[in-house]
Amino acid sequence: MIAVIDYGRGNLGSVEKAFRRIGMPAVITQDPRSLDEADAVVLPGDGAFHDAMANLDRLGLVPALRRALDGSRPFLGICLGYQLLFSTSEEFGEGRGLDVVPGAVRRLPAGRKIPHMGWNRVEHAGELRLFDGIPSGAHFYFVHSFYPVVAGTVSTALTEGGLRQARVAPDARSDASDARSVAPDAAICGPERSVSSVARGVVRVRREVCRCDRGGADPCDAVPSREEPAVGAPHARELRRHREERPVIVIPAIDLRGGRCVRLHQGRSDRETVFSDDPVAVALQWKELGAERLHVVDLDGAFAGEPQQSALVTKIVAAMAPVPVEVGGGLRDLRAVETALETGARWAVVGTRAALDHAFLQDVCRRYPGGSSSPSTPRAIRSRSRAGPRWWTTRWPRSARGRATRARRRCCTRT
Amino acid sequence: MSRDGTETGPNVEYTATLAREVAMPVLASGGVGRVEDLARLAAIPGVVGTVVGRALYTGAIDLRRAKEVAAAGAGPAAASRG
Repeated sequence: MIAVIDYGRGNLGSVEKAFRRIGMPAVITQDPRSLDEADAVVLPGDGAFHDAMANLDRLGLVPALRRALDGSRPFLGICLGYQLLFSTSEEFGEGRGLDVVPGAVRRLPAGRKIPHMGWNRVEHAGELRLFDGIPSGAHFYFVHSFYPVVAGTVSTALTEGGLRQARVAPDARSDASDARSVAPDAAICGPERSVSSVARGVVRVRREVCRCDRGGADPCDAVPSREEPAVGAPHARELRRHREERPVIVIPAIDLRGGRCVRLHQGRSDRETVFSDDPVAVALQWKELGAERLHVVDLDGAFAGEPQQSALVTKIVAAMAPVPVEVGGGLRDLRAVETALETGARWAVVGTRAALDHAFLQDVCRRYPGGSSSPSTPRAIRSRSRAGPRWWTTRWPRSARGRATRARRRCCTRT
Repeated sequence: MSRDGTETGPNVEYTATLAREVAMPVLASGGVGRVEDLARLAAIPGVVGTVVGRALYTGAIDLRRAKEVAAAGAGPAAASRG
């Protein structure tokens, strides 16, 4: 379980929502025992530095917070929650922080627009766990008036921001007093943006937790920086251009029926050809031939209306790693979508119900964001269309023709 | 759907309409029987991937060759979208 500390100074709603979106529930807590029992701890925050410290102290959370920062568990500090890790801050006068990371939080120099808002490149030397999988020079959105100056030898990432100050994170592998995972001080403005910023950090925490629990399993990739939501900045156009230039990929399909790899003719259950009794071996064959993604359909699930072959899909996903897998077949409610993603598949494909019920599609997109904002590799859900005017379905009314376009357009407007 | 598992060629025209109208990336699927089909789908702006089933299993399409063809298809047409 992930504990989000409630000390009266937090963007708790955004944080909690972000965790919910990735399907990993977090508890909001003021109880030191919950912190001790948590697999990972999140310290959100906004507002004044010394007030926040006073609140933590008053609630008796400081000792548990220090235990959470002993390096044994992932820790995410967001915004002020990150700044509190430093020794001191000059925000509204000097105040003592948790002093886990030696350094001081300073106000951005006068003469620049404060708060600083915009996309900045974050550079790092590749040794920060928090930035695992994110290339140096990736863009992050910043809104802040303060920045930490790190004392000593902890590794940091740098942002340009016109300042080139060391600004980001202590290193997982530096001395024991350091936090293992600390967010960049990407602070937070509007609710939408805050959720997306927080979600990135949250995904990382989840990844860390998964590593601890499952010995290296990594079911949930972070959103790569080049697939940031395209909002508000020249960088967004640049990011979009990257996407457009990607080559079209060929995605081998594996349709599962009764544990075997089959193909149907026009989706008819009575027109089946069995191609293999060992779908995992087939998947490995596509992997060896260079497949960049695998498309898996649980046909039994499609006909039954709920997933039937999740265990087999899990094996296939594991065999394909690190090649990502999309899975569909019978995903008619949120629980089924969750089941599909629990196999480790990166994408869930919704068809039948998404076409008939656009509220469902919206729910799914809200719960698993990324589907329309990072188009070529959505984290979660995208409605699906076969190349023809009708979607994949078991028993489709002819009137569903054309709904594909409308449903997808609705989904699209979400961004 | 009516093309699925038939290798009779994808519905390129409809796929193009869909991709244009939804303004979001589209995966084309169903009826891909030959590498030429892939090339036609890959040339559609907005199509970012194609799902291939039966043709890979029957050997009508070789995955390595298919990747080359599909990658080549995403040229200036796709880039003009952004």
